[in-house]
Amino acid sequence: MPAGPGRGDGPLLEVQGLHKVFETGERRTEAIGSLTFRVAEREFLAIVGPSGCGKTTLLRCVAGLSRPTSGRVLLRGRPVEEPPPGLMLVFQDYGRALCPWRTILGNVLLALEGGRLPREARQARALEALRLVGLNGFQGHYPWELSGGMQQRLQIARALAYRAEILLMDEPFGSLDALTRAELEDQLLAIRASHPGAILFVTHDIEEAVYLADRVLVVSPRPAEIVAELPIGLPRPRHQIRTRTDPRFVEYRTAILTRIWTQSEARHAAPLGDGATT
Amino acid sequence: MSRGGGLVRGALPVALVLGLWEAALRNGLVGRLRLPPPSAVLAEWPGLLVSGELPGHVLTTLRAWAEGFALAASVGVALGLLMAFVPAVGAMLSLVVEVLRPMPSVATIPLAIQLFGLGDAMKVAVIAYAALWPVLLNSLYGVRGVEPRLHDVARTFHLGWWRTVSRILLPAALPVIATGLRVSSRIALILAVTAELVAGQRGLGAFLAETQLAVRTSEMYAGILTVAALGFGLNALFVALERRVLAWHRGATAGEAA
Repeated sequence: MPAGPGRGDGPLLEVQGLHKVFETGERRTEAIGSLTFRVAEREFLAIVGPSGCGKTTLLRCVAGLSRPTSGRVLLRGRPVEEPPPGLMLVFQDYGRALCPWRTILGNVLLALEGGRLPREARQARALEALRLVGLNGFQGHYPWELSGGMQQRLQIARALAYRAEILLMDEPFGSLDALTRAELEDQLLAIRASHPGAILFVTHDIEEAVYLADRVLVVSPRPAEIVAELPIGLPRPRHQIRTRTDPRFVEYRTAILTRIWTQSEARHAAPLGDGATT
Repeated sequence: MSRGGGLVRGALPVALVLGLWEAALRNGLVGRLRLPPPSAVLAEWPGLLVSGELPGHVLTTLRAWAEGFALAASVGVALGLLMAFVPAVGAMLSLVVEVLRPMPSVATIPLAIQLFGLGDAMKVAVIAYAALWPVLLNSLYGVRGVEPRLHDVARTFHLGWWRTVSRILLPAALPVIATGLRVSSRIALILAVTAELVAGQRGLGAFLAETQLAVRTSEMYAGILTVAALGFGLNALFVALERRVLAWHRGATAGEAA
C-alpha cells in the first residue's frame, strides 16, 4: 500500500487498458501501448517517462479531451468521455493556456464562469486561490507582464479556484529554471497539505517525481507501457535538501533510473540481435 | 524609442524626392504642364481648400467611403463569424468566397453602373463589395486560428458554446479582425476614388479626372496629394483605435518578441 491515502469505496480514478493510436493518412503512430493504473483519493501519483513517450496523450485521454483508441477511463466509477466536472488540467505550455486579454484575476475567474456560483463567491474564491500561490497583489496585471514561473502559478491558481478533486499536471515545471522549479514544487506540496484532492503529475524528471509523489509509475518510451511502480516512503513534509540527500531518495532514484536504462538498452540492443540485456 | 528620430529619418526620402522633382523642373528636364514643381502644387493647395472646392469633394468621397465601409464591415464580420462558428455555413460559402475573392474588384464597376446607374448607390455598392473580403476572411480565419489550447481550456472549464464564443474565441480573434477592418478601410478608399475617376460627377476621383482633362495640372496634383493625405489619415485613425482597444495584444506580442 502506498503511504497515506486510499480509503473509500473505490479508487478516485481508474485507467483500464488505455491504448491510443494516431492515424494520419498512411502513418500510424502507437502513442500508448496499454496503460492500467489507479489513483486513490488524495493520492499524489507521478508518472515518469522519457520525452515523447505519450504522457501528454495519456493526460488528454484522462481529461476527456481526447478519446482512447481502446480501453477506458473511469472517474469515481463513471466513464470519462467529455471533460468531467471536478477535474482540472494544468498545461505545460502556460503561455498558450492563459488569456492575454484578461487580467490575472480575470484568468482565475474564467475557471468559475461555467458554474453557478454568485459573483461575490467567485471573486472570493479567485482571490483566495491567488493568495495560495503567492500572486496576491498582482490581480490587476496581465499574464504577459509575469515571468514564466508566475504564469504557471496562475494556471495552478485557476485549478485551485475550481476546487478540482483531481488535478492533472503535464510537466508543469518543465520549462522553468531550477530555482523557480524547486520553489513551485514546495508551493505545490504546501497547497496540497491544506487542500484535498488527488494529483496526477506527469514529468520526465525522475528526481522531481520522487520528491513530490506518494507513488511513482515508470513508463517506457512510445508506445507507453508501465515498466515499474514504486511507492515512495519518504517522510512529509519534504525538504529540498534533507529529502533529496536522504539515502532512500537516492535509492528510489537509482531504482527508477536502472529500470529506464535497462528498458532502453533492451530496445536499442534488440535490432542488433546481440541480446545483451541485463 | 525616440519617435522624433523616426520621423526625421522617415521624412528624409520624402524631402529628397521633392528636391529632385523641383530640381528636374528648374533645369527644364520635364515640361511644367506635365509635371508642375512641388512648390506650385503646394501653393495651389490652400487656395483650393479655402475656396471650398476641394473640401466638398473630400466630403463626397468620405461619405461614399463611410457608407461602403460600414456595409462591408457589418456584413463581413457577420458572415465571417457565421462561417467560423457554424461549420455547415462555412462549408457552404467557402467555395463562393474562393471564387469571388481573387477577382480584381474594379472589374465590378461596369456591372455596378449597369445595375445602379452613375449615382452614389453605384459607388457604395462597388466599395462595399471590394472591402468585404479582407474583413470577412480575417473574421473567419481569426476565429479558426485561435490557439487550440484555449479550446481545451474552455472545454475543461465547461464554459458551454455561448461563453466559449463570447469570452474566448471572439476576444482572441479580435486583433486579426481589427487588421481585416483596417485593410478593408484602405481598399474602400481606393475603390471610392476609382469609381469616381471612372464614373463620378463629384468626389476626389471626379475632381482628378476633371482637372486632368482641363490640363489644370497643379490642381490635379493637389488633388492627388489630398487623396494621399486622406489615406494616411484614415490608416492612422485605425492604428490609433487598435492601440487603444487592443492594448493587451501589443503587450502580449511585444513579450513574445523579447
